[in-house]
Amino acid sequence: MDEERVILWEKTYEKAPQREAIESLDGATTARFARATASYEQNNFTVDEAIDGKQGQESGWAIAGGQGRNHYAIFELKDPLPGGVLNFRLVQNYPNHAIGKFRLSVTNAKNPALAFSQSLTSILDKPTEKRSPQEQKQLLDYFVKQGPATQRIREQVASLRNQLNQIKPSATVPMLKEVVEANRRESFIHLRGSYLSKGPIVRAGFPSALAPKLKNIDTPNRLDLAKWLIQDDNPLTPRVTANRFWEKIFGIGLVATSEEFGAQGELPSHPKLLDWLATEIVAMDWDVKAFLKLLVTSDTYRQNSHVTDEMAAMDPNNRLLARGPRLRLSAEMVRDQALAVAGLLSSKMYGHPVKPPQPNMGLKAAFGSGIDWKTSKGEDRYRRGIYTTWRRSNPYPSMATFDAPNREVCSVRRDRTNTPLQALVTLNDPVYVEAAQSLARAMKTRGNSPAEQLEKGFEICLSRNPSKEELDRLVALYEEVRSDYSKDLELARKMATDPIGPAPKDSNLADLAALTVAGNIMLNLDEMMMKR
Amino acid sequence: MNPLLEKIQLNTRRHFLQNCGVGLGMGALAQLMSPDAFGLSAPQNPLLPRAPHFAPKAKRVIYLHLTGSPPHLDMWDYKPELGKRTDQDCPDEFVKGKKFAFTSGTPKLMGSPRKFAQYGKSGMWMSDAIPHLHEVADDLCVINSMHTTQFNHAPAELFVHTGFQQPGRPSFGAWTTYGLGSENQDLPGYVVLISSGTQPNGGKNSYSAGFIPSVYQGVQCRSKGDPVLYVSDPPGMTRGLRRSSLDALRDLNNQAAQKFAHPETLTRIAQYELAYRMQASVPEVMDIKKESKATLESYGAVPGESSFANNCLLARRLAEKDVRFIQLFDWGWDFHGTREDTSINKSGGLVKKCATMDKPVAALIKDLKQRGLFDDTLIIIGGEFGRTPFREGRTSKGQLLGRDHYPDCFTMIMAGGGVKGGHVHGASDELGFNVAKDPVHVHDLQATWMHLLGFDHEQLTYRFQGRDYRLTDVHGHVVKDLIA
Repeated sequence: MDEERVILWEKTYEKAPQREAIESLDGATTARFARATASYEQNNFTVDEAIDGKQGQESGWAIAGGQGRNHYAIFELKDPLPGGVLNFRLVQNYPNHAIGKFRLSVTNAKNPALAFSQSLTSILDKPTEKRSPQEQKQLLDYFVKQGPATQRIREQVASLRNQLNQIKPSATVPMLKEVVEANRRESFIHLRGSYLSKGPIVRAGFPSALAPKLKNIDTPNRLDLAKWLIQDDNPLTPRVTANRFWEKIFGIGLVATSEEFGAQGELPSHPKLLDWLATEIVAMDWDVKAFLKLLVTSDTYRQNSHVTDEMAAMDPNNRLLARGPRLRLSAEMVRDQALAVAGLLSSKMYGHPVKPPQPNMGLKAAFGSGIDWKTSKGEDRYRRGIYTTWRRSNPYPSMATFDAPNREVCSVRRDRTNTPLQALVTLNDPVYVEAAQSLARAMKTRGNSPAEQLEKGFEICLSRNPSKEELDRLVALYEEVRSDYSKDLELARKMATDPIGPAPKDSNLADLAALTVAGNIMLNLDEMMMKR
Repeated sequence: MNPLLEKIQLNTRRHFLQNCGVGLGMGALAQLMSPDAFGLSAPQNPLLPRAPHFAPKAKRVIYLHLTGSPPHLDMWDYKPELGKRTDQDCPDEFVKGKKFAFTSGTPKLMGSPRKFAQYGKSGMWMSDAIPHLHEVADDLCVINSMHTTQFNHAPAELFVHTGFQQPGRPSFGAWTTYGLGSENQDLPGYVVLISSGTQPNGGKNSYSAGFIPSVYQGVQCRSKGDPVLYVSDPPGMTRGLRRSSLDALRDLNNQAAQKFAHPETLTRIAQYELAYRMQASVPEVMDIKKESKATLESYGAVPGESSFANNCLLARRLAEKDVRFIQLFDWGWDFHGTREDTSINKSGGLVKKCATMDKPVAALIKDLKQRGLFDDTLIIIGGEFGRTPFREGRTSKGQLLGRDHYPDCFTMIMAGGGVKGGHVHGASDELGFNVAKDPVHVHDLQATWMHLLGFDHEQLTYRFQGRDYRLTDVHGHVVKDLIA
């Protein structure tokens, strides 16, 4: 509209315009370019910038360093023009670099040749044998990156790379990246421990007594160390590794001090077996799964774990392996197993640590915030124990009770104690009460009579059917507590629903509460805690 | 390599000594005490009472840790010369080359604004900040020549409690229960009570079992909520129902015991019975309502509250029940003078804070004496280091007086089991900067504690990662002058 508000120009769009669209009053359209190449480009002022749509002095093609010579640029259109009049506009921002003689050529060739940079033409002017390796590389680079002969392969690569980028990572993993040599920090011996008095520079190294071969390398890096760890003539790594897996499966290593194979450690109980296992794990190409299979399918592992008095007297710790192992699960396993049999355990993997229920202590950490936390929501409440948030000064209490180390110092081997505080955890910790409630609900749907339900629950927990005596005892407990709960439904409601939440509609609270008590007992059975 | 030769080479003198039954140090005892450290079976309760190396002077410990470290120069160590030189520049020799937490440059000397006098038959110097403790002066053993290596809270606290400045080592209480077991299986052997709303500086590391079995870690007891974690039955579970369900559990576990004949199953059955008894005995011992009005008043304890006074009374109740190690932590003794409640001015924070401490501690000492528990209970009172004889730099322009952290010379107090009463050990120099007489390093004090409990501190060890560890690391000498 003009000053008198008379309409001068009007256009109706079929589609909503893009966020930014330039319209000319006379109906002219702006040509868009897809590619630009030039015989010379100044750093940071490449010819691309002439067609990037940006205006101003910071964006454009420049030729500093190449003044006084001939230059040319080729611009390829994005889409063919409809025809008519072509208007060109030349903007020159820097008088010192202004164009002396200017010529324009237009072609309608489908794939116009690309501009050939001056540096390349000067190389091509030389006879082949006089070109330096660097110059040859420059030519090769051009051929690979811009040459028309490789155009099709480049397009293929671009499309595949595009496909690759479409694949979103399912998890992010922190990466350790080595600092380049030049940027590495210098480390010094601090004289008398004072960080202010620097002694000689020290570099990464490795005790030569352990790895004499690394001694010959000036500054051994992690790769050298890794290679040494697994090289064929190093028996230590496979022995230590085989022993650790043996310990996980049998409860005690062939070398009992699995963290210490040196002079301060114990000698192996079965040195030849350890050596055989060590060579097997190497022969298996370090396949952990295959190695564990070897262990658990062995006759030794599959022996009955029954202990006779004689055995107990002669070999209380089963170092001679005359019987199968029987050992308590680790702290994390005790919890995960309870959640698993209750059908609560989440199999979600990766991601940030989670906060399962823990009691509020109402205390602050020294010079810090409160130590209580807000329980995670949804399935994060039931993730595997290894995902539990771990604050070293305040480890998750129920796991600490079951001998989880506080992670202040490296612990290869855990002790296994057996204490009343552990009993209190599995009897009363809301995590285990909730598991019992969930197990009770599962039992309720898996049978008609209490006996059937309890039998099913027992089977879920121990992967075996109960004996008649065992089932009878559970049924007797069920009947006894059920009769109490049927007299006090409010009590029953608490037992069956706190903390898991309201009971399913139309369910009998006394039944559910009695099954919860029975489930609580099943989760506390000696056989639940022990692997055999 | 020839396997035979290899075996001979691996057989060090250490193995030889172990194998011929002589054992090094406590090898045999260590095996006895950690039955499951290496294996599958736990034939014995690891908390069963055990005899130490020699006849002990003390059977149990009550450790009152004043977290943050009280200003010993305003409570115990009287420095009249320092008082005369208040506001003078601190002589260079005392600060040059030293690092302080919050002070740089040349600070001003600061005598105590408190009044000192002599108390008891022994004529012990004490300030007017702790009037109730004047009454028990003749029961106290005051060490004015303590020194440590750490000048920040967490490392210094860990140093006092675990013998090492970094987290991860077993605490004194853990060593004690590891060495002596517990006389009362219905209660935890090592109880921790925390007041003033904040954990100790080292968090649970200050009462952890480190790398020795977790059964020896301190168990925090509380006056609000579950007195011990998970000791209360869940909602909907009555005592009768719990009994019925535990009976069923016992019967089922007995069947497992017959089937597998595994000793640990029998231990587990016993542990559940202990847990059941603990469910009754813990709330009972933690309930101070049954104490007489006079007793409550003497401590300044109020049932239902969470306070240092309540915890002192609980300490006596736990001692009465033969709990081996009772550890109290009270937050708020870091007297920098940055706020009213951390100032040591005449009517400032120190007087108020001391009022919450000196009365219950005096009452505890008198109460233990009256009940015949004083002579075999070792009482320890102190912080993690001392405080500077000069005014803290940060607050030097303000009205509030405060002192910075100071590791070179400070005071710790002991009483009871085998400790000389009415005794002052060692001395600081006239300005309180250095130990002038009979220095006692933290490791020496720890060695002395172990001695009072009947242990040679060099012999009570636990093997971890190939090394025999002990509370005193590789240091420590028993200070005979402290022992009655």
